[in-house]
Parts: sequence; C-alpha cells; structure tokens
Amino acid sequence: MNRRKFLRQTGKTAALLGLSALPYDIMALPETTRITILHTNDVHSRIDPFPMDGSRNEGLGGAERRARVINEIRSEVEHVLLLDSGDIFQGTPYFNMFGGEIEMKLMSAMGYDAATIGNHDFDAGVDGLVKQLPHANFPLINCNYDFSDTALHDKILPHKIVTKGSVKIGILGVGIELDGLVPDAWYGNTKYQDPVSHANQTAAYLKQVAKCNYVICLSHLGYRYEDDQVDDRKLAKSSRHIDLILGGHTHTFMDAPEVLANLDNQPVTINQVGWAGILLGRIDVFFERNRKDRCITCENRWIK
Amino acid sequence: MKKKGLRSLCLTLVVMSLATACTSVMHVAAEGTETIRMTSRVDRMGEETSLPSLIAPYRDSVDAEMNEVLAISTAPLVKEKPEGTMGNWVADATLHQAELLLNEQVDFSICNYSGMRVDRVAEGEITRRYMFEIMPFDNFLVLIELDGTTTKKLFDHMAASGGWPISNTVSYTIDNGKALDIQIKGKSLDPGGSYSVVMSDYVANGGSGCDFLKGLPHEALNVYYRDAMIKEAQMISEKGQKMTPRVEGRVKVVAHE
Repeated sequence: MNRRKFLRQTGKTAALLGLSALPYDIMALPETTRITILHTNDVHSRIDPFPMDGSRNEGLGGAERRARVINEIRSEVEHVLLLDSGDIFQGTPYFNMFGGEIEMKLMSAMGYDAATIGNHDFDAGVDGLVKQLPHANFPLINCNYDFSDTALHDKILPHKIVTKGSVKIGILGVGIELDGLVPDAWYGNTKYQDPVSHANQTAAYLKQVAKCNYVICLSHLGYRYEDDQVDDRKLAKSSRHIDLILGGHTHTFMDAPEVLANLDNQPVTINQVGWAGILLGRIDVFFERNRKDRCITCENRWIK
Repeated sequence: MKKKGLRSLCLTLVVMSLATACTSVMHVAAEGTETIRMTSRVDRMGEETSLPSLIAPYRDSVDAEMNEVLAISTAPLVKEKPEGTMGNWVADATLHQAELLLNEQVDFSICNYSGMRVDRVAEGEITRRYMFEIMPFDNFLVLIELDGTTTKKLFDHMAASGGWPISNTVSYTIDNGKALDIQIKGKSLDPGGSYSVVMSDYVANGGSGCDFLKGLPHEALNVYYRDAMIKEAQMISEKGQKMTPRVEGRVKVVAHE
C-alpha cells in the first residue's frame, strides 16, 4: 500500500469512528512519534465559564474545565505541548483585583510550556507584567520586542527548545505593534521591531543551528487584515523554517486551520481558537524517521 | 477525546510534504487538528484538578466585591454596529457624568467600539461585575476640545470602522465609510466651529487609530471611564428608575447595491 492511499484510508476510518480517538494507524509504524500540541489564545482573564445570562457564550469556557480536558489528553498521549498566544490578562475583575496573579498560577498548574505576550499583557504596565512573572513556571517568549531598556530585560526568552521523545521542537513568539494600541506609558521603552524578519532569523537559528525538527511560532499579530498590516497569513507567506503559527489578537474562530506555502513553498499551518478559553486547539503532528522513499507528496485533506 | 459530545467543530487531517526537506532526522508525516469546545459536558471528565482550590479564595474576593447589583436594565445591553444598546448607554452615561463633574454642558461623548469588551449583557440586574467586564480598562474620562475639521476626522474615523458608540446629542450617516449629515445638538457640523467631547484618555492619546487626536490638550476628569458608568447606574437606581438602553437611529448607514 502506498503512503497516499494509506493515509486516505486512515482518514476514512477516523471519519467512521466519529473522529473521536484520533485513531491514526500511522502510530503503528515503527519510529513514529506523535506530538500533541494544545493551544489557547486571548483567554483574557476568563477564569470562570461565562455566566448563564443569555449572552452568546453563556456557560462556555472556564479554567477548571480546560485543566480537566488537558489532563485527560495527557493521560492518553505521551508527548503534549501546551502553548498560549497572548492576551492572558484583562477582561474580568480577576485581573483588576489581582493583576494577573491567578491567571499565571492556573496556567502553571495546567502545565503550560510557553506563552507569548499580547498587547493586553501590558495593561498593568511593564512593571505589572514583571510582578506576575514569579507566579509563572513557564517562560514568556518573544523575539521582536526589544526589552533591553525595560524591567523585562533578561526576563523574556526569544525562543525555547523542547525535546519530546526523539523530536526537537523550537518555539518562538512575535508580538503586535504597540504604538496606537497600548498607551505609551504602559509599554514604556519596549521597542517593536519587524516581526517577519525577527521570526525568520529566530526560526533559521532553531532549524539550522539548533537542529529543531519542527518550529512553532506563537503569534499575537492577528489572523488577517485587508490592509498591509502584518498578520499571520502574511507572516506565513514571507517565512522560512516555521511549520506552525498559533495565532491570537483577532479573536478568530477558525473553522479549520489554514495551510499556506512559505517562501520555500513549504506548508505553514495557521490556527487560532477564538478567545476567552471557549476552545482548546489540538494539533497532533506525527514525525517519522527520515527515509527518502517515505517522503510524501502534498495532499491536504479536510474531514468534516 | 472519547465522549461524542466533545466533538470538535472541525477535524482535519493534513498530510504535509517535506519532499525537499529531507535533511533532518525526523520529519513531519501528518498533522491532525481538532478544536475542543469547553462546555459543561467536560465538567466531569477525568479526575478533579487542583484548580478549584487555587481559584476559590480569589473567586470569593471577586464575588464579594462584584456581585453588587447597581441597577436594573429594562433591555439587554448589546454591542453592535453601527449602533447598539450597550454603546448608546455607555456614551450617554459618560456624557452625563462628565457634565456633572464639570458643571457645564458638553457637546457629545464617544467610546471606541473595541473598548467595550463583552458582546451582550442580559436585561435585569446589572452588577458591578458587568461594568468591569464591559469596560475592564483603567482608562480615565477626559474632555477634549476639537475644532470642526478634527471633529469631522473623528466622525469619518468612526464611520470607517462601521460606527462607534456616540451620545444621543449627535447623529450622522455612514456612506461608503464616510460620515455625512453630522448633527451636533441639532445643528450641522460647522467646519469653523469648536466642540467639547468626552472620551477615554486611551482614545484621546491616539488609541484605536485616533492618531489625529494625539498631542491635543485634554482635560482629565480624574475618574475612571468605568467608574463614571458605575456612578450613572447607581444614580439611576437612587432615583428609583431603571436603565433604559435603546437603539434610536443615531447612526444610519446608506445601503449600496
């Protein structure tokens, strides 16, 4: 059976099973490693589910719920990465009253591996963000803000490398232009730099120097703008060495991830899961030991 | 995910090609994605976590401060373009509170659309919590004096983004993203005139794309934008009245085929 046919049949099987257990038979192949990437964005201090008050999102979301789902997935698969694309803060009185402390504690308890910084994460100022970092046991990652003249100097990582099984994964982060979006006094001397060139430089380092097998970009740029403001789609098309962009900022509920070709005509997957912790994104990536005859032709399959 | 009720909005199996990038040891063979909705169906999934005990003391404090009912609203507060009940109420409330603080008449009040952070609050009891969720930012209420030309720019900016909340002292029509027929206190906008406008310091300092306001002098009213809303709701209650948010044609849109 050739690979293409194999995958098609796997897809069919998955559909028959209601797609419930992600029963990819590919796992039966030797030397295959599955990495399960779970992700959120723009949770905006939504600790509790939305109240049952007739609002559009009533009864949805909630950190405790998310923790249960994450734990359940952790019990089913070996390699989980848990990531957030920024705007952790601001939106409920939890932030007004405690400045982000409980948000960081809960993300730490859930085992987040990394998060990037959204514009609203500056809402208590640079100092307010610094103050909450001791409550986080995971790093905040960004490569296009220059924090050298701020209290965040040395506290934000440009990237993080995680090894899961035999797979090495590089994680980088990019943030949105702050001028006009965040009051000057709040971001202080933080300098915004071009996210595309900085993401590409960091990704090149991760792929070529650090020999990562897969590079994830946590982005708070936004999914799509009609004008020339940089967004995840423009970043994907202008990128090299990035495999996956987990986005935020625009609160976009995507029906399905989008796959675009990068400068080297390689696929970049973009995903974003709305806001407020209403959704948890899950992307399972299957890696196999390289054999030239196993390299497959490109086929995107959407199963609904 | 085993329970059928948890099924995703989508599930995709994406077969990735790395035909030209076979230099690394491990390469991507496939990607499968799914989105999991956080509904009450997952509440009993798996085992209890440490989160409830972590959250409890914080929630108790929040509840103690935020569950206070400020007023009763006769209609839902809905965030909508070009005009919604939430925005109308917020703009009128801040205008009224600014006038009380200044002890003088103000021409109009605006709020940036993205400054309101929830889509809908049901009619009935409006708690302090809802005011925080509508307006979570610690922005201040300010008064700014604009010349006629800058006022026109402001209306065009609001029109271009489909309509921002404005007080009942003004109205205009959006035509192809431009503001037409701008009426301020019953009179057409005078390009040579001058207008007093209430807004948040965030917008006055150029936020939400209002860079044309940046650097203009404004008067700080030393009250949080949100606190002005809270005060208005409390004053309505004290008078034995109810909040009556409504849409009344402050912003009209010309339909084009």
